Amino acid sequence: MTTMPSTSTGYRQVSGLRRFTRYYAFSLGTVVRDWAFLAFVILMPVTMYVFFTSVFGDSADDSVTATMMIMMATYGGLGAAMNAGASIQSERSSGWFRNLMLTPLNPAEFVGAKVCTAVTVVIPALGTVFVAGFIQGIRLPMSTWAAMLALLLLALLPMVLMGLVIGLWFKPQTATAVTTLSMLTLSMLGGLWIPLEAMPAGMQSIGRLLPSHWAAQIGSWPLAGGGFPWDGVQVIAVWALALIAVGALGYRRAIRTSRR
Amino acid sequence: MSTPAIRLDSVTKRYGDLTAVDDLTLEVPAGQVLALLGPNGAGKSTTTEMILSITKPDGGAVRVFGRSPTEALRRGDTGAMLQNGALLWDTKVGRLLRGMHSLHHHPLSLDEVIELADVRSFLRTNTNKLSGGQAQRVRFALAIMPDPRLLILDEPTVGMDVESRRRFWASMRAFTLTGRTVVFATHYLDEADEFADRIVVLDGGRLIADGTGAEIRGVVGGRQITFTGPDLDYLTLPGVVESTVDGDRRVLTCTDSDAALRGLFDLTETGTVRDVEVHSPSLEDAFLTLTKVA
Repeated sequence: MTTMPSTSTGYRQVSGLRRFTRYYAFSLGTVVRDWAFLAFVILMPVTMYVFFTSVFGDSADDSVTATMMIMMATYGGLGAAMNAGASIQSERSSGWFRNLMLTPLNPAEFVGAKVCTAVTVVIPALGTVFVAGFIQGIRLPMSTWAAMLALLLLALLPMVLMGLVIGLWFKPQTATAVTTLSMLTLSMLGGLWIPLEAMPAGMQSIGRLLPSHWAAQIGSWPLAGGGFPWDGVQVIAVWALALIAVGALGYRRAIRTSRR
Repeated sequence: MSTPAIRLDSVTKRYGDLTAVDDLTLEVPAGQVLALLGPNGAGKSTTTEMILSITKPDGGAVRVFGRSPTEALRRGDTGAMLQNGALLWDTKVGRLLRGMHSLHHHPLSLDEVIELADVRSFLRTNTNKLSGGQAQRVRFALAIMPDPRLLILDEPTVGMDVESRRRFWASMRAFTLTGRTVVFATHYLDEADEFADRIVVLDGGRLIADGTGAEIRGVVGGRQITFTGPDLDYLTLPGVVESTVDGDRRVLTCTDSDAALRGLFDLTETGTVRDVEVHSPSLEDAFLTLTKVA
């Protein structure tokens, strides 16, 4: 305590990219230490998948089992993405925001790091379902597995953003409820539990406006083949842009309200 | 003349109908330790927040080392300890410090930060299990980490017990030995008097006094000499402005107590003036007088 501070360790300009990477690593470290959250996010999708496949029995048709796998992976990934996004809550509600604003980390770097953290959490959630599918006997070329994973991950980006938006706009207690409710609505109406085709026409048209529906379509495209669902890309892009706008407003509000 | 650490030019900030800071002009030279003193709602926090770019002024200009507050912050020129600035929940202190350390341009070494802020004994403790004083030390560690030229502390010792407060100011002293500028907001008068080179008293968002602790105390009329002695016309003494009687004691209010004392002993016969005491008004007296007037 009585030591005198020497002069600093020398000026090392830390670039924005570096700061982003470092906060990403820090943030990921925080998630990894929260084993209860990780277990929930990773084990829930695979549990749902195993449950659904055993309820609907062993379909002789491999493509049906594989499609069901994609649906469940989408459902699980959606939950993982939203919950991981909503974890921005821990920074916001505690007022840690205020301290972060006093570092060179700027809002874009901070939000970018949070989005990437959430996306990283989604990878094992999807991967576990795929492994379960493989154990259940689904055999696909390696390139198909990889394509499905990559496309699904990209298509789930709006869900990460939605989680962030919820985390920025709602109180901690409410955020969990809102996340769960949105997740269930998106899964149900998006046709992740029951195929859209089996629903009434009105519900089908709602489903076609949801990013969850198109995430599953895009994710199963390497499997199903045919024309690439470009309509879905548009729907997802519109959702992403809208959520970014709402998120930006929420971020400003969060800074204002975390003032005191 | 070198660039001042802080320059506020007619800065005004309103929240709805409330004017939190009202046309405040203030210049803080580099190397000064300045206390912002004032009752709750005086505008201390708002002023520090504007220096930190957390709050934007409605009028006037804020410069930190000649730059905008945001730029100064991004460059690591400013470090701050905010009032109620929370710590990230459920994270070990050591990990939190390492994580933040990696974001700064020219930080002090982690070891130095840990040493100066005296946090080594609880590096492995979770942030949600810290005592109030420990949490405050972690906030101090985060504030000095960027190796700032300007350190802003908003009510740094609020909620600390006497021992923590003593330790905190010892850490602060060590840190400021190297000629850094420090601005701390407080409503503890003794803290302001003991640690600051200069005290700025705010009330209702306005600057109502600016000077050293002694100068501020001088505002209420210098020192008082009390004694028991004969009934004489003491107003003829040099430096005496008022002469009253309090019980069996005479009370002289002086602008120059040294001259008054010399005169007092010259005027009276040896042995007739006894039990002489010289009081300076407390800073609290000054503060109360000032805030009443304003």
